[in-house]
Amino acid sequence: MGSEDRDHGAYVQKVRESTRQYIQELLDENTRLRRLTASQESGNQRLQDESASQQERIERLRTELAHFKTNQAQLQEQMAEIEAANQRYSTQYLEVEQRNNDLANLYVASYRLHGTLDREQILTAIQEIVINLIGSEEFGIYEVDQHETLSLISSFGLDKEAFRSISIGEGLIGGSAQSGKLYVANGKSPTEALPSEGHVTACIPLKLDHQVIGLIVVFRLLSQKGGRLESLDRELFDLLATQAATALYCLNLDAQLKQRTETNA
Amino acid sequence: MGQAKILLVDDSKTTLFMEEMILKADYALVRASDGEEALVVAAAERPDLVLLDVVMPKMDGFEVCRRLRDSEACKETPIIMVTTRGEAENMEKGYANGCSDYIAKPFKSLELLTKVKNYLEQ
Repeated sequence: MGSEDRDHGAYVQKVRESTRQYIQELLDENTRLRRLTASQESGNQRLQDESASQQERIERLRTELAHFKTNQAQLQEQMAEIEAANQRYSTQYLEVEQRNNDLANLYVASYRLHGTLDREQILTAIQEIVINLIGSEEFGIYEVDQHETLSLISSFGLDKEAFRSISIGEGLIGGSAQSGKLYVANGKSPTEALPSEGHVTACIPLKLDHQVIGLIVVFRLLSQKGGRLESLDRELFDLLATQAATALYCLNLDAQLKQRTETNA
Repeated sequence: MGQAKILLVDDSKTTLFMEEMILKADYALVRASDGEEALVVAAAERPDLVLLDVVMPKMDGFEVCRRLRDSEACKETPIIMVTTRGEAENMEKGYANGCSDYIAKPFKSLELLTKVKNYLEQ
């Protein structure tokens, strides 16, 4: 064997060795890539699983959100109902308070009118009711005297001389006494107002068994009333119309009784 | 803590009765029917609040208010003046004499209770 053949053999051997190494490297790379692919596929599968799970979660959250929204709408509806009920109760509470206030006023007025048989005290009680409960410092209290005329028996803030005596049937005051009907400002009256009656707010006939025995005339109301009569004022007028009449009648009966007792004695 | 004590001062029995009806459920009440009596009762009872009428015989509410403010018993006590005369001029006179507030007659029960409660809870 010549040296040329030996060189050729060595060369082939070298190429074989290189080829084998190269193939081995390719095989190693292939193995690595397959592992990597498997790993990627596994990761991909995991991500797909996770994505499905997330999708499921999102669906669940969407369902929950829809449920919460329904609940929220129901709660808002309930809240609106509660607020409406609350508003209703507040209004009712104020109405009850107002009614309590009115009843307290009427009770106090009635109590004051029937708490005594002293003439001065009854007249004071009527005055106090008109001043403190109705709200006027300009009024007169009349009694029908034996001449069938309205005679001023008590007053506050009035020119007594101008209003001392009023004929029944004359003007707003006399007209109210004649008809036995309550007159309130700007209401109907069977008679024409006299010039002196320009500021009459109300005429309250005091009646006993449909017979007028006296009358209360209310002129100007206190400034804080703003010139307005409230429902309570009308109830107080009604109370005065009957209870003040009864109180004044009882007074007269008591006076007559005392007089007779003294005469008999 | 006991009930707060309120001194009611008015020559009108009707007003006193009305105030009593409104306040008696929540407060201890003492009464005076004129200014002189009010000064005596205030010194003895040391009320937590005074409801004071303006128009009274012997001594008007403004004078009573001024004297109460000068007294040891009521120098810092809330004084609410109760009046038929709600004009600004009258109110100014009241404030000048040391009153804390005003309420005009005829008053509503809720209005009086609210005002009294506000001062007693301060």
